[in-house]
Order: sequence, then C-alpha cells, then structure tokens
Amino acid sequence: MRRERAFLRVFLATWFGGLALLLALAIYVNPWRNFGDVGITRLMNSRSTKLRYVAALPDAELPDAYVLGSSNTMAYDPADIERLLGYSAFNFGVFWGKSEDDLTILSWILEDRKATPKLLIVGADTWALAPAEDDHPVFPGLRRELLNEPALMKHHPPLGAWRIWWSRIIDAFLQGQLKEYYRLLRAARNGEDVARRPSPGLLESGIFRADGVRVTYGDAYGRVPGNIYEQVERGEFPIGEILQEKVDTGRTDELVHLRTYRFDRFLPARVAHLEHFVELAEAHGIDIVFVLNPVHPIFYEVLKEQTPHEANVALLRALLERLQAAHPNILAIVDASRIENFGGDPNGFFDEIHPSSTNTERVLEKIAEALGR
Amino acid sequence: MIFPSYIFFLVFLPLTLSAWYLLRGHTRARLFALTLASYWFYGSWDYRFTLLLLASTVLDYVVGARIAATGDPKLRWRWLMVSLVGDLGALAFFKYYDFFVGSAQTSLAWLGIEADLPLLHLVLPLGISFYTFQSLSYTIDIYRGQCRPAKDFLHFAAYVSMFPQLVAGPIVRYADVEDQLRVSPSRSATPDRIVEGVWLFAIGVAKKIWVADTIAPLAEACFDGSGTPSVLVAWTGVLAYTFQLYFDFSGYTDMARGLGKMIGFDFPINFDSPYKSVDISDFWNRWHITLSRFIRDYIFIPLGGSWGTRAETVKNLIITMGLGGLWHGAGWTFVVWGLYHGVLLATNAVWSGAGRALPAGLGRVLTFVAVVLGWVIFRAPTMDRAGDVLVGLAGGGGAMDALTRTRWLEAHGVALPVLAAAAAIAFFAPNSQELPKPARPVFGFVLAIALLATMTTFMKETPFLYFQF
Repeated sequence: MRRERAFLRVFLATWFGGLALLLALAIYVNPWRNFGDVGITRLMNSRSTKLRYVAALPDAELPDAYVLGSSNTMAYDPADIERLLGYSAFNFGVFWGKSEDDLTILSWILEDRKATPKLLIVGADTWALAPAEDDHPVFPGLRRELLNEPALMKHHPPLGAWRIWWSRIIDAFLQGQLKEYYRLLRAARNGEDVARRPSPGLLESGIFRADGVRVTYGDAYGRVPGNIYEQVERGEFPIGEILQEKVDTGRTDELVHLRTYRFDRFLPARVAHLEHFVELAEAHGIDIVFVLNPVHPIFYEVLKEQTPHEANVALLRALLERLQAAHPNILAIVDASRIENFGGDPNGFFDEIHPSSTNTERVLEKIAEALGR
Repeated sequence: MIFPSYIFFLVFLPLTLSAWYLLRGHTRARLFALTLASYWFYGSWDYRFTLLLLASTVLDYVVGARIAATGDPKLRWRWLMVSLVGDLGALAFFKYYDFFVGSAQTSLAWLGIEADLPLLHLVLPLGISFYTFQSLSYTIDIYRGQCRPAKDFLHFAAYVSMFPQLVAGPIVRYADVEDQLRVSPSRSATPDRIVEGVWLFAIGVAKKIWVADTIAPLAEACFDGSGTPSVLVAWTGVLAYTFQLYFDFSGYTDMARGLGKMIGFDFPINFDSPYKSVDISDFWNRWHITLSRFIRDYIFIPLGGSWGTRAETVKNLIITMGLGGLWHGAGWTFVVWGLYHGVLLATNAVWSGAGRALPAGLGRVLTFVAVVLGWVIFRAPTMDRAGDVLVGLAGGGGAMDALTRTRWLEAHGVALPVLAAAAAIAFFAPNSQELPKPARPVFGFVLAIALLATMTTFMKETPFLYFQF
C-alpha cells in the first residue's frame, strides 16, 4: 500500500503541478491577451488596432463612411470611396470579420465613439453567417480577437462571465496555443522584439495604412517570399497560374480557404446579428451597401463543384433582399459574387479570395451606380 | 460532457472525487453526492434528459418494491408488466417511433396507399438504451427472485445513474453492485484499486484519442463517400472501422471501469480480446459482454434458449440477434446486421452440434472476416451504401489512379501506421484488464505527463460511437 500511496502522490503532484505550469506559461506568453495586458503580447489584434486608431481621431477627422467586413474587404481604398462617392472613409475590415463584428463595431462607433457615419459598405461573406469553425473550444467560430477586445465585447450579446473565464482557462491548454507559446518564447530568446508591450498600433503593425487598408500579404502558396502586395497591385502576381495548377493536378484540397466554404446553413444567431445591425443603422439614418464578396473565378468553379457555395450565395442574396424589402430607404445590394458581375480582373487577387484594389475599385463603381452617384 | 474533455478533466472529475473522498465515513452523503454528480453529468447534454432518467428510476424502484412485497404471482406479474411497458414504452417512443412510422409509411406507399403519418423527429436521449436495460434488469431479477430490492431510493438512484457507466455501459445488474453500494466506500476505494483505476482510465483515453479518433478518417472516407470505393479505400476503410469501433468502445469501457475503481466499484468487464475469437459464439462471449449476457438471460433463454429442437434453437438465435440489432439503432441496417449475426450463430450451433470443429487458426480468420463483413452493414448509413462498400471490397471499384493514390496516402499518412498498430494490439496484445498496472512512483509521473499531453489535444469533443445507440 505504501508504494501505491507514493504513486498517487507523485501522480497528483505532477498532474496539478503540470496544470499550474501550463497556466503560468499561458499567462506569461499571453499571445491573444486572454489574460489582459500581461505577458509577451505581440500578436496584432486587427479589431483593437483599428478601434484604438479611430478612438484617437479628433472628431473633425472622423470619416463619413466605413468599410466593414472581413479581410476580403481590406483592399477597399478610402481614396477611391471619396473620389467615387464623395465621402471620407476608413477601412474597418477585420480579420475573419463576421456579423457579430459588424454589429459590435457599429454599436461602438455610435454609442462609445458617439459618431454617426453616413454610409457603411459591408463586404458580405457567406461564411460570416456560418455556424462555426473549429477555432475556439468554447465559442466555436468566435474570434479570440473579438473576445479579448472589451470595448467591442460590451456590445456583444452576453456570453456569460463564467463561460468566458472558462474559455480562457482551457484555451491556455490547447496544443495549438502551446506551439504558439513555444514560437514566441523562442523568438524572445533570439532577441526578437516580443518583450512586454501591448498589441501594436495601426501604423506600427506594418500591416495597415492609416486609412485601414491592408498593405501586407504573404504568398499563401510559398512561391514568392515576403510581401506580395505591390506585385499583386501591379497585376504581376501569377495567382491564376497557381490556382489552375492546383486544379489541373487534382490538388484542390491544398487551396487554403476551401474548408471555410464547407457548410450548408446559416447560424440563426449570426443572422439575428445581421438583422440587428441593419435595424441599428436605420435607427440612426445610416445608409448601408452590402457587397456579396467575390472569389477568384477558378476558385469559384472549385467551390461550385465541391461545396454548396452557389446555394449559400443564393441564400445570402435572398436574406439581404428580405432585409432590403424591410428597410428599402437605407439598404442597397451589389452582387459581386462573380467577377463577371462587375467586370473584375482575374489577376486582381492576392490569393483565391482576397481581391486587390483593382477589383474593389470596380466594385465601388458599381456601388456608385447603385447609389445614383 | 464526455470523459476526454476539459470540463470532465478539470472540473467534473476533481470536484466529484474530492466530494467522494471528503465525505469519507458518510455513506449516504457520499451516495447522494455521487447521484447528484451523475445527474449533472447526464444533464450536461440536455437537462431535460434527467427527467426521463428520474422517471425511469422512480418507476422501477416502486415496481421493484411492490413485486418484493407481495407473494401473489398474478400481482407480481402485473407489476412487472408496469415496469416493462413503462421502460420499453419510453424506449420505443423516443428511439423507434419515427423508425416504425416511417417504415409503415414506406410499406403503405409500396402497396399504393398514400398515408401522411406524423413523424416527431425526437432527440434521442443519450444512453437511454443502456440505462433502460439496466433499470429493467432490476425489476425482472426481483421478479425472478435473483436479487433483493434496493435498500432505499438513494441506493437505487445511485445504481441507475452512476456516471461512469450511465451512457454506454457496461450494463451493470443490481446484484453486481448491491454489496458495493452497501459497503462503506472508504473500505472499497483502497489505494491499490485507485491506482488500477487511474491506469485503466489512462489506457481508455489512449485507446480513444490516439487510436480510434486517429483512424476514424479512413472509415469516414470509405463509408461517407458516394459511388463504389476503390479496393484500397474499401479495405482500409472497413478495417479502420473494425478497429475504430473496438478501440472506441473498449476505450470507453476501460475509462468507465477505471472511474468505477477510483470510487470503489468493480464493474464487469465488457471486452475480452474479441478479435481473437475462434468462432462466432466465442466472439459474442468476448464482445460487449454485458449486452450479450443481457440478451441471453432476458431474451434468448425466455424464448426457449437451446433446450428445444435444433430448429427452435436456430429460430431463437435469429430472433434474439435481430432484436439485439434493433437495440443498436432504429434503422434497417442494424436489424439486418443483427439477423446476419443470428444466422452466423445458428450456423455455428448446427456445425458444432454436429460435433465438427475447425482448427483454431482457421476459425479465428473466418470469424474475423465474418465479423468485419458484418461491420460493413452496421456502419453504412443505408443498405445501398453497404452494398457499394461490399462491391468495393470485392474489387468492383477498381484501383486508384496514381495521382489519387498519392493524394490519399498524403491525407492518411498518419492513420495507416496507427491502423497497423491497432490490428497488432487487437490480435496479439493482452487485454486492458490483463496488462500490469505498475505502482512505482516513477510511473505516476509518466502517466500524469502522458495524460496532460493528451489533454492538450481536446480541441474538439468527439463523442463515443456507442453514444448513438
């Protein structure tokens, strides 16, 4: 019995000691700011970064229009918006933006920033209303960027303090997070700048310009090292060739965004966020233009063959048309889901889903038409 | 909440075990805490399910007491019928209503009669097949005079709801645990038994996470696709499912038995290296043993067992296994799978009844192949899909082209060696209960680190396969 007792003592000490160690590591590295501003918080939070930038703008410099949505909207150039629509603008597109992001950002602008824009251009992705991705262990599909931005979360429908607390604890133990901790610790040991500091500001991030446009893109397929932004903007990046090769060699499962489109229904809660968003805009007299976001034409054919994408686009269009019928005075729709719809350029993509400003400018021309400009 | 999950590892189990050991010397308080924890565990899927569990518990406790209180055979029979109708009625309603109504509708349509019968699309309460059988066995055993009624309601509620085996067995009879419920748990949960429990639990977690869940995609690629699978996809898929099911379910049983030992209960073993069986009868004595025992004692023997003529034995075997198949799920594939095993058992009964026997090695191979073919029907979502897969096994889907094979190998590169290891373990390694459970402190350290490492992979909770039954 003595040996068994010793076994249990060692087992329990290792178990609870190991848990404590992992938790301490999570708090020390803290890449997602799960535990506030402690630790090595280097990872950029696009929501916080853009929010803080707008929060610091003098009232007189606040824009008339905002671009909302996911990274698929990050190329909309405020200069083009001003030229074509006559509004000053800021690109508030955030990584993996979903309907809860649109809702919380608009709520923050209206209630906390106390500003009332005139126009919202919302890039609508079908997956922004999808049930979930396997991203978060407690709140599937909810991005850690949003969860850890209190200024936005206060406008999110309540998730329960205990559940949020619990989600942070178990997030600390996930293998993926442990790999991230290791990467950051190694970077710190190699002298990289991962010392204690908050998420970088908009300009210091190196990812965005002062107007919110994204200017850093890596090649998803590893052909070109470094930032491909300029190359794509000049139309010199062979995205069509890369995608076509994947199709020709039967390697379509290597298309990095394919998995995102594999769903066949919308989550009612996300649809409700969208409805609430439109109601909120109408209550403040704000015009909205929803743009059904384009994908590269080669990718579109893959999606058509392997996912319910066409049906999902039809579902999204029907939903937006229903909202338009209910709010006819403020809402317009531009269907850019296929590049033929707006005379898009197949070379104007950073990868299979992210359009460059060549294409977003053409979409903006369609928006101008829709708004009678 | 499943066993390999954060909520179970970090909250439920520490709290439950703490309460269990802190209440040392207070048997009733401990049983109350255990029952409460078990209802929490069960209600974590859907709190409404707990009402059904409670109703079934109250019904069988009252019926058990009534049967024991009277010597009148007619009255005893009537009370037993109350229990049978109540328990099986709930099971039939929640599990089989849509199946029977849908089948009736299809049959009527086939006869040219259009009938718009209402389907209810009910959510199947988790584990209902298990706890209904367990609870039912109590009233039947009292009726037969094979067990005493529970000391009080708390004892019975703790027995029915005990979280380690509530949702997927082993199916425990009251007589199995009656004494353990009465004995002060402070005497039964001894350090050696707890160490054994920790080991069994860890083995079960490893079986589920590192084996069953790793090879599952191979099975999914075969069964969830369309068209006739190629011979490679068909064979790897079918073999993957064969071992996935075994490691998943026996892993769950190991965890359940391990948890039982941690709180001082010995649950019966449920698996005894079934893929080493030398004939199909041997297989059913080694696979899901507590279910085999249940259907033998409560269906096969009451039907007449093997005491009648050979034809009667064959009939009883086929009926018993057909019902056993239906117990697994409300679908024709399960019924056909059960009947298939009934035919195999009947053939075996006739063969061995004639005094014939195969060499053990050949018997082992034939039994394994017969079981594997049965799993095709069991796993396939429809009989049509089962047909596709069987044609694929026979080579009807042809071979993969070089490019597709390369892609398939890339996708399943990790699963294939795990499948090979799973087969080697199932064929040659000793069973979980036969493995040594070393108690040297260094193993306590290694085991805790291994469990911590495994816990970091709990990104997604993958329910056990037998939860759907």
